[in-house]
Amino acid sequence: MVTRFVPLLAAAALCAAPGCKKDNAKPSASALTDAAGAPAKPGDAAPTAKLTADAGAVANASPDAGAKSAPPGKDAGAGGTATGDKPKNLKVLPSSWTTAKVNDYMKNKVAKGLGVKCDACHVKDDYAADSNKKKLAARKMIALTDGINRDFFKKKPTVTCFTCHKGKEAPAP
Amino acid sequence: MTTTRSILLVCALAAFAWATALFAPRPTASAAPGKNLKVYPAGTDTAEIKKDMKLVSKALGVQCDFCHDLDDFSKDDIDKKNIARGMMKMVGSINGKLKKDGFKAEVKCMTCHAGSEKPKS
Repeated sequence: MVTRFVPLLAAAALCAAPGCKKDNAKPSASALTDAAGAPAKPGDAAPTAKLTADAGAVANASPDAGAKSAPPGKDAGAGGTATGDKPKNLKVLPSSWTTAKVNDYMKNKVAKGLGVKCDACHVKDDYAADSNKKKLAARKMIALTDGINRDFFKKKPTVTCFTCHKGKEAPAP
Repeated sequence: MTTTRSILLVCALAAFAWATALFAPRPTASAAPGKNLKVYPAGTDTAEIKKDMKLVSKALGVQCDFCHDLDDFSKDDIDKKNIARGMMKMVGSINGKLKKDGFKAEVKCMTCHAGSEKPKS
């Protein structure tokens, strides 16, 4: 009977030790993000509002283009041979960009930065289609990258996909 | 025989735990709130800040004197300290946006810097 109680007592004593309690109560890394996050909030609202406004403007311009699925679009999406083509269904990238510019960005920044091929986000037959969920996530990430460069690096394209991803789909924790 | 031994052992363990608890150093009790805080909330404990700063120095591969005057850590005379403040604000902003966008991942200094003062872009 006594032997049954003693381990319990020992366990209680171990957990009641102040050192033990302290470690449990204070997660070490989160403090930094919490501390940094709090003051950044007020300034945060404006950039996101701008971002959505930008995205909205592009979205307003693009639905017509996105709705019509004409054959030249397919070529442009897959190969990017026709340099003068207008890309379809742009929601984050500037509407002024040509298909060639979009392709260049996708290949040299996004695909290289994440170490993936086009099919990670795109449907092979229709690059403008949004049916792959990863494409939606990628849009948010591009908008995030743009926001970082605008707000913290004086609009200079300092941060790219590679800065965090380091050639991998999921950045190291 | 074995039961008495185990009882003794457990009692000894309990006594040891109690003793270590009594004599363990208490960082928060002796520490004071940090001075000249501009990104951390006012009154944040020095011990807590120090813990974070160790992570910062590891992520950038630098020592304290990279940003701090070693005679007075709260001084702002080294420009890099203000850059670091901006970076900490940026990390907070990025993590806020990531959370808002439904991503579970968070960034910290190491995510971009990966052990070097200047991240490869």
